[in-house]
Amino acid sequence: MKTSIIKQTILKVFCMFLLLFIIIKSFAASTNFAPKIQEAKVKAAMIYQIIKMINWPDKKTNLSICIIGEESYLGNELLKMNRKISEGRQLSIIRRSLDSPIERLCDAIVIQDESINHVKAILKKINYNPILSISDISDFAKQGGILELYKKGDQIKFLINEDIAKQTNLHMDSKLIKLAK
Amino acid sequence: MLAKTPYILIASLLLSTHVVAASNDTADEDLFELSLEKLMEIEIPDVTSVSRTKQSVMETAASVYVITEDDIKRNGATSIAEALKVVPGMQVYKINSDTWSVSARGFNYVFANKLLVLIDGKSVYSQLFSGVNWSIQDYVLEDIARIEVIRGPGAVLWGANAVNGVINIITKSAIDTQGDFASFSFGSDNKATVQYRHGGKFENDTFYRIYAKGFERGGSIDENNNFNVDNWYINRVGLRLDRDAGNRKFTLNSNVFQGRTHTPITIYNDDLKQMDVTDKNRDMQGGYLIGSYKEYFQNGNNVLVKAYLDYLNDDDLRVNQEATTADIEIQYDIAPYGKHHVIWGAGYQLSNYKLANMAYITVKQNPIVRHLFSAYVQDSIDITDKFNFIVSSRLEYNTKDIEIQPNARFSYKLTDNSTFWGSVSRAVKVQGISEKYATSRDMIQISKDKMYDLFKGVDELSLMVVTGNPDLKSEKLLSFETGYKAFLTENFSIVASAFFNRYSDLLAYVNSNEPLHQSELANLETKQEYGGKIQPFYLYHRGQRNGNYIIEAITTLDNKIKADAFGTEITLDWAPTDIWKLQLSYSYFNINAKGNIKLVDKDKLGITTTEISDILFMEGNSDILEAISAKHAATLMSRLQLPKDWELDVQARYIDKIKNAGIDARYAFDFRISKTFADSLNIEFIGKDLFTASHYEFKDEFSGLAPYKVGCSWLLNLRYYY
Repeated sequence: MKTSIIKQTILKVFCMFLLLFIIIKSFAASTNFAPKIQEAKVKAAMIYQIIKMINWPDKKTNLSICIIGEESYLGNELLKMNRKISEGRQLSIIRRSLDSPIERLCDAIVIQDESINHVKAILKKINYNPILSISDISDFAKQGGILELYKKGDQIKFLINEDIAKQTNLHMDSKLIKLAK
Repeated sequence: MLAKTPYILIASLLLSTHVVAASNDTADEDLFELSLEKLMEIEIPDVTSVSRTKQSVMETAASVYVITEDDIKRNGATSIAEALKVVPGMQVYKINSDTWSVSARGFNYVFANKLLVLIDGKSVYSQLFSGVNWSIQDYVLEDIARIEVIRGPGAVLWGANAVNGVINIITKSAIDTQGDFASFSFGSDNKATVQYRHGGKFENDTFYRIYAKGFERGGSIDENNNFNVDNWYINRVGLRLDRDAGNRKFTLNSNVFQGRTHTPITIYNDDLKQMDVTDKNRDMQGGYLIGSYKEYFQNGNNVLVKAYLDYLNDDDLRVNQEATTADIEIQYDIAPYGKHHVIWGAGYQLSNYKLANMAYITVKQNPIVRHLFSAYVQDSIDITDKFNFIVSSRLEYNTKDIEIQPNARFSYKLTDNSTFWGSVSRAVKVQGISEKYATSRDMIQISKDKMYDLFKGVDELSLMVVTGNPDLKSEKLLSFETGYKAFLTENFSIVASAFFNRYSDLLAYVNSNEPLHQSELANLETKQEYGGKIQPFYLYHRGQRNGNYIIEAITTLDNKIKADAFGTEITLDWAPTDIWKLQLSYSYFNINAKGNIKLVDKDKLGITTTEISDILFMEGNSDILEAISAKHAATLMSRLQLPKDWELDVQARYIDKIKNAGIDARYAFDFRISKTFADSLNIEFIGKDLFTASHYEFKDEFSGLAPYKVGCSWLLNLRYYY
């Protein structure tokens, strides 16, 4: 008699946990909760479309895009672009740390919020190289970055620093320049 | 008799959630197909975000809690030990004004030596006392980037003694602490603290910061609720250099300190009267130098070389020690190859302990030199996009034994925002110097133990001597852990872990049959119910009191305890609005210990007293382990960001009773109010341990440290950035 009561209690507790687990899982699966993640998804998709309208000197078959720094929503969304083809070039998205030789390894770099104090140092590293610098840090373009994504009201817009872009020999489609700002 | 229907219901729910999850992924794909014009038209309302550091916590296959720099500030912590209080699964108790007992997942007593603590990669664990001296672990708190707490065996990558956890204190790079900072604080037990830091840059992109810190603290409360005069002070200066040269990074960390504490110690003097010594100066000074160099190669590999030198001179009433440690390590990180990412490393550590003025604690070997060679390898395999498997092992050789600590763990991304992980590991705790070679005397009184009921004619006062055992084996742990981490909504996350730990060869106090100098055999008669037999029992020539013998029990240590521990840690983070953040944590801990000897039926006649005392000793040891940690603990934190840069933070804590130390369950409340002017001047007022009477947080019978009460306190702090 005693053992069956224990068995029942264990089964009940187990089912309770299972139910709790399912509820939690269904929450996680069905809610599209990221006004922050949604923002990151839109920014990543925009970066994908913008890259289609940029030409690198001597780059015909693949483009290497480096995400600098640790985990972030934007980084996670950009990783989904890995292996996509963009105007005949295969995209390879990879995380790199601040100190790696990005000027040799990357065709584009994405600088995230947490590296805000290192922006000048990073831009200096890639100076004059045909590397597209991308970020959503405010005043990125002013500091010498090429592509800055910013939020205006509830929508995402972007800025292109044409002077720097010219210096690096990256060629921007005129349609892109028109859409900027 | 559960009906079949609930099972079907549950199964269908499981299936349906899978379907929903799948459809979510296709939504992502659609965004990439939209034109740039369309993307720029999408509306995304503003909302708060959960802290960034949580991201890395969410994906690691381990039970991690990160204390950010913001956490340290808003919890009102005035020391590194105090900052650890909020971590669920950790036992952090203030024993007296300069001594903390800090451990993870139990074992928070004198053998609280199963935690590895590192500051900027340098271990601060003392092999002499098998523990951490928290009073000298300090820094300009605002320059600490974060404190990573990993509960559970972190042996492989971190090293020796990471049996129950690793605490990794990481200070900010000099690049991130440019400019000047000064702070001044004072309060009820924090008499005065001054901090100053200047950050600048040399010509060639070398950044530096120099800093100085001094404080005087005191004000613990004795059993009559009076304030003690046990003030203590420590002054410290330091320098950090960081040079970032493209693919090469160089860091130098240095720090020297000098201070005087009055660590209260309980000793028994020649008249066998208990004395709490609170006015003996304990002078400490020391410093360290840590250098690290990291280079990234073109092929994607990187190498890290780290070396440090540490010196400590500690003039304790019981023993004066001069400890020097030198350590060098190399770590090689091989660029991911296919699905594999391999890291391997090796290191060597040399430590030297010179002891003098030994009173109450004597060590046979002096000086003591220890060598430790270690090597490790880890392979992280991305079996699929969602499933990662890590297998690793560490090997240590200390010129006598080889210890191997393997580990396997996996993490599985259930959805974009949730991860499930599991781990199996073997960890080992190598014995310290005090366990093997130190004898401590006249410090520990045995509470009226069952053992002394055995004999007739024994005085209430019984002292305990602990002698070291050079043949001790290491303690072992086999640990099974699992956890679940998820962002349930944007503003609500859960991090939960559970563990089952099987310990073997744990240390226990056992009867020693070796006489000490000046020991005298006494013939004691056992009481009738134990057979009335007379057996020799070693008695230190202390005489008698009222015709009764004063017994000094001579014990030693042996690997005689097995234990099974299990528990859970849960942290919920919720940001109900833009300006309000809440965190609720809960931990549960339970341990069953038993002595590794055959249990004999005590009521049978014909058992010798030595056997009985062995059994009772074992029971005593098991009882201590089982009753030394609180079963339940919970913390609730609320942080409110008010307009005009005002902050209001409240914290409530509950800690269950600690049976062995005779401490009841308790509640505590802290609050903090802060105002910042023009982003540079900050004033905060903090009240701690409110609405509760002065209380002991912990009492440890075996360390000889006198416990004092903690009462409510207040603190006023001014910070100036310029």
